[in-house]
Amino acid sequence: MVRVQSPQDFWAGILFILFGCAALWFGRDYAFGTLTKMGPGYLPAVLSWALVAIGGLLTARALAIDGPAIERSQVVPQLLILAAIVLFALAIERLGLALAVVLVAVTASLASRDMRWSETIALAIGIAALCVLLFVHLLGQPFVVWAF
Amino acid sequence: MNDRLAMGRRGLAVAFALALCGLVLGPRPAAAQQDYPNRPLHVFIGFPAGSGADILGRYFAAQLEKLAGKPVVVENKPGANSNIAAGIVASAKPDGYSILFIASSNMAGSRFLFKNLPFDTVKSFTPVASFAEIAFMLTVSAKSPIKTVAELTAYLKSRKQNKYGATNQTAILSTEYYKQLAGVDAVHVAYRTAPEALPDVEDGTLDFMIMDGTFAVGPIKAGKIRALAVTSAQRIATLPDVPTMMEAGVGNFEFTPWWGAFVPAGTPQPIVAKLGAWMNQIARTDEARQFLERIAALPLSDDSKATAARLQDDIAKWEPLVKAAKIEPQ
Amino acid sequence: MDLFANLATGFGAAVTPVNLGFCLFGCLIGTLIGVLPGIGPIATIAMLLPVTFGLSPLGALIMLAGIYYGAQYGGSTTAILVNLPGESSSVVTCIDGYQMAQKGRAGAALAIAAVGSLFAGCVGTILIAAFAPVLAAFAVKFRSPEYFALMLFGLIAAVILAHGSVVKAVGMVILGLLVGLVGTESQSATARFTFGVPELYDGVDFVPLAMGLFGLAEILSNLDRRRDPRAAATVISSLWPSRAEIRRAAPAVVRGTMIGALLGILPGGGAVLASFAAYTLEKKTSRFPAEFGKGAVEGVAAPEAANNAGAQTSFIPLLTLGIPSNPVMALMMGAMLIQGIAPGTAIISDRPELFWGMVASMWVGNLMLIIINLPLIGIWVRLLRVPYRLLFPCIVVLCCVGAYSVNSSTFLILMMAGFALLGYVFGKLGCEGAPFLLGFVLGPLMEENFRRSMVLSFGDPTIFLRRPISLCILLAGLALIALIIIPQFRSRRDEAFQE
Repeated sequence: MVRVQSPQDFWAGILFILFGCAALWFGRDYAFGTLTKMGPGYLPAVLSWALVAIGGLLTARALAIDGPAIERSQVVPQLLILAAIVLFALAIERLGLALAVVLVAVTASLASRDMRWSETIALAIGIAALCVLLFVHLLGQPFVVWAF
Repeated sequence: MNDRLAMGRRGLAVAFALALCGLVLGPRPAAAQQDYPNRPLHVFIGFPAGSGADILGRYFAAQLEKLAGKPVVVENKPGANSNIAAGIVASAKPDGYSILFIASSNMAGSRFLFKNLPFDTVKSFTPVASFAEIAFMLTVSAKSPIKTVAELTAYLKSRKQNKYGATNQTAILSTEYYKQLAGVDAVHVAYRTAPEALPDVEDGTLDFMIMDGTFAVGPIKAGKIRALAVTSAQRIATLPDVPTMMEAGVGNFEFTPWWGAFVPAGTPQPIVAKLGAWMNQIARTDEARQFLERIAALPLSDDSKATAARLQDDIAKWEPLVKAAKIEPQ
Repeated sequence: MDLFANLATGFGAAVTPVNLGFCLFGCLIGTLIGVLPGIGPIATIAMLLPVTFGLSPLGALIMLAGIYYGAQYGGSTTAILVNLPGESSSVVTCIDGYQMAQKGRAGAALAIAAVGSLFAGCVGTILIAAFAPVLAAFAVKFRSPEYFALMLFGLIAAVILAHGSVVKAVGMVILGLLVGLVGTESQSATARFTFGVPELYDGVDFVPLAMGLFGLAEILSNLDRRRDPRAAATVISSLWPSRAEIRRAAPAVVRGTMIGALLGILPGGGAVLASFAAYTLEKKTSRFPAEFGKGAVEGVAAPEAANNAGAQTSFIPLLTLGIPSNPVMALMMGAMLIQGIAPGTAIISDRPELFWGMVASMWVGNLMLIIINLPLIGIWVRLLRVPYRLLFPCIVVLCCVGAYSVNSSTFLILMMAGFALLGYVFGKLGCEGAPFLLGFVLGPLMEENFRRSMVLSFGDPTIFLRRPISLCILLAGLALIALIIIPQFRSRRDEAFQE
């Protein structure tokens, strides 16, 4: 059984191969053309194949040469941050800037091991006020502050 | 201690997930129905900030703000022949707070140039007013010996490999129209913006280019490029010596893109009338005329019905053009 | 001498209380939006355009110009402090600037960036004053073939930028190129990889990409570590650069200024290369190449100087030829059109007070900016000492708000989240963001210029070799490839000998 000597390189290679294949798949309908009369599909196709090739090279090398391992991920903090961003996208138009910011600040803070509720609430309200002052009043951006 | 914190955090994470679901499923707040306007208006322009189109639109938006008494926010949504901006307004609430400033050529042309538009340029909108007329100009290098359109036509006919520049579908279509009427052939070289194309026109790399008047006036007056003709029905004030394409003998060539304001179909008639009256009022001022003349444009003050009629005229004109130019709808 | 007489006119026009006020206002707003992620000079200037209707032409231009180079100063700040590039040009500053901050040298990095920018700004202004027409004539020679060669050169340089594996860097450049191709292709008007999403018709927007890939991804990976990632930085280092740092930074600043000044005048993408090219030059000519990517002082000094020099010289094509070099210049041109001024060669002769007034105000503006920014360094460094658990939610919030402010579109926010995840994964796999970003920025430009060159030459690929400038650049690119490959062979050969 072949062992992966360099996990980072191995998975990076796989990632490249996947992206390359995806680009080839989604770009399959674009006109190809020739080098001197390039169609819209020419460069995407060339690049996708190049990416797949590089990915292949990396994966092959990773089976032979030693390399660093992939550091563990805690998963939950990262998911919370991503959830916070998604929450903002959903909340900004339905609830307004002020509430959206509070929600994001709180959700993001949850990602930290050392969070304290008192601090977080104060921070959330503070940064919400700052955003409203800065973006709406000072910079005149068209945000809905409070959607009710 | 850490465990309790972790569990508390997980519980809260669940709570937030539920809140998320609530937000996804929850309704958006309804707009208040009171005296129009009672909150900021949004004007959508399908061109990038700083372009000639944008400046035109921003001027009118600024004047509109004075008349409406509420802020008018300009949002640039460039791309896809103004279709992105149009799409946004088409699907907006018909309450008079989302307004589209768009060029007639985009409005009339998109229905033929694009296959799967999520809206219909006639049915999805109610025209409010037209407010400006732009001239496009047929330009060549100032160093070129060609001084009239007739000379250009003869020159193009005598050579096999001609090149013309164009930055958008309007320019391409008008050039194809000219090619058809004059019986010449030329290959299209694409540029994203007029300033990018200018050096190539200036030194003759491009044989000719039909350019947006707003940008072209500067280089013309600075003596870098020469305008052989304007595409409108009448000569324009800033360049009185330049003949129209028709005067220059190019058959029935008349191409005067105009700018109009549109709102989503179903907007209440009183609001349409109010907005239209404001736009007409702005267009009739001396200040507006002076401003527009600086950018090689003329003010227009058509109301909703007249604008709709204009649009229909343009659509009728465009259909055969697109077919003749053999442009594939995307 | 004529030059002095002209400068005297310029200063006379620019140093009036009203115009100084406009300059200060522009610089302050510029710094503010430069620091805030998301909002950039383009959006701000566009918003202020109607305001300029009623102002005097010189006042309006001074204010808008102040916003532009003020944003350059501000953008470096977030790049250094929290790995958030404000503009594409600040991405390079993130590489070593952020690492310096991690090591407790944030104050030094900020100071070097500020002073380097001041030097570059002054030199840039002198170049405009003395050589504008000459430089403009040089710039005009650059057409599609030359731009293609330049972009290709830039992409090769992108590989040098990386401090890890060359193969991965090449992969990242290619991936960035592919992402850059998303959008509508101009020659055939085909929509590529847009999946029917309207917000993608004009391509992936830089702001959510950069904020996600750099700033947010950094937060995601910091949360994996148990302790405050800046615990090592509680060593209270001096706010100012050490003598050794200054000695290394100074020549880097000069080199960066030259590169930035030259590349900035090229309309259509030159300035974007400036900071990357400066960084690459430093890395290849430094006595301490291993430090690059871990906090090398030259890695901050040169790109920052290049940025600011480029920002100044990018006015040249506009003021002398009437050709805007980037979207901000297009806006400035719009402001001029509004005032009834048609930009072009006529400006210098017809409205000398306008041209020289602007030149003078640039010098004044740079001075104002250093006065504003230097004291702020103390505040920024103190801000960094705030516990991370309180700092990072604020960064997340500001990124979200910034992403939304680009286009009032929630899609961009979701895209930013996607890039944050992608950037996090890249980090775990040892792939670097800077080559990706360079590919993203340069790719579409390169393709467009290649295709246009082909159309203009009717399908003749030798056009790149027949034109002297593009030939030179292509040869330089080959030399660069050699520079990359040869050390690899040499080290492999050394390894072989050791065995």
